[in-house]
Amino acid sequence: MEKEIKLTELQVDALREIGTIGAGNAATALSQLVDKKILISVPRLDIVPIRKVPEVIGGLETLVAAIYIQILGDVAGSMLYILSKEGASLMVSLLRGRAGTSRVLTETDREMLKQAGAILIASYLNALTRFTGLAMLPSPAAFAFDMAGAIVDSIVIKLGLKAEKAVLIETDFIETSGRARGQLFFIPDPKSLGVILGKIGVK
Amino acid sequence: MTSKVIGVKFADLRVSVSPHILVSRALGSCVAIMLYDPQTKVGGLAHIMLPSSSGVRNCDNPGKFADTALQAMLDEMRKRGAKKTNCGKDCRGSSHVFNIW
Repeated sequence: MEKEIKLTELQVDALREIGTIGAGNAATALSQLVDKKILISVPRLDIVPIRKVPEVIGGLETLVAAIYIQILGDVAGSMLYILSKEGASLMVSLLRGRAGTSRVLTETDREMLKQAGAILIASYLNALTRFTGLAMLPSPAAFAFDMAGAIVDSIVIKLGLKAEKAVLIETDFIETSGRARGQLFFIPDPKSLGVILGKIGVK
Repeated sequence: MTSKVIGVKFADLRVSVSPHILVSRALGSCVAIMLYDPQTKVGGLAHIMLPSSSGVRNCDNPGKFADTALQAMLDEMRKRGAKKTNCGKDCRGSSHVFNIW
């Protein structure tokens, strides 16, 4: 039932380029937000079946912070930004401008992560839009701090089981006080993935 | 017989017999349906995602929906000697994972 998506070398390169530009935009945005120098690692790109997403995140029961946005416009789909527990607390301390002492995420922390995540996702979305010339608009963000399995479950239900593949763009954000791994999953509708790959293939 | 832990991933269903253990991890907004016949010690667990398969054109996986999963699970349990009238049942899950929706 699952069709293998074979990407041409050109498409892989193009997706990686989009990922790099997106991550660059995201690092710039974050850097401006927290007024600190932030470096990024070269993004790792992969296409994973949605079922495998919890494994890629680190296991079904791994606690992660997730920011979820639906994409509307020429292309339908969604974007999921995942930060590990450690990554989330690093992000919070960056945003708060001081080292985190609390081990639990407060309501304010969650709200900050959600907003920062939305900005990061928008950075990637912007790169994708520019590259493909397709109009893509983000919905308001949703936030969860839960087990990887639970998060993916809820998203798959939300997607109505239509989507099967996710494009993973994995980047480390490096700051003097540590580094945080950010995993961006772009989950286009099956039709939309074809549209995007078509646009990329031409160029 | 040594006990084996059988993981049931989403949109999947499994039937087994004691002393084996069926487990669904990280349910999220999915629902786990459990049936157990104490007489034959046959148990079933389905990790379903949606309530009904009506209106779905090609339902290739009975484990996705409550109605198809329940039926498939009962069929499989009957093959192993379980009786529907003996079965105890339970449901868990359906949490509100994201802060909107």
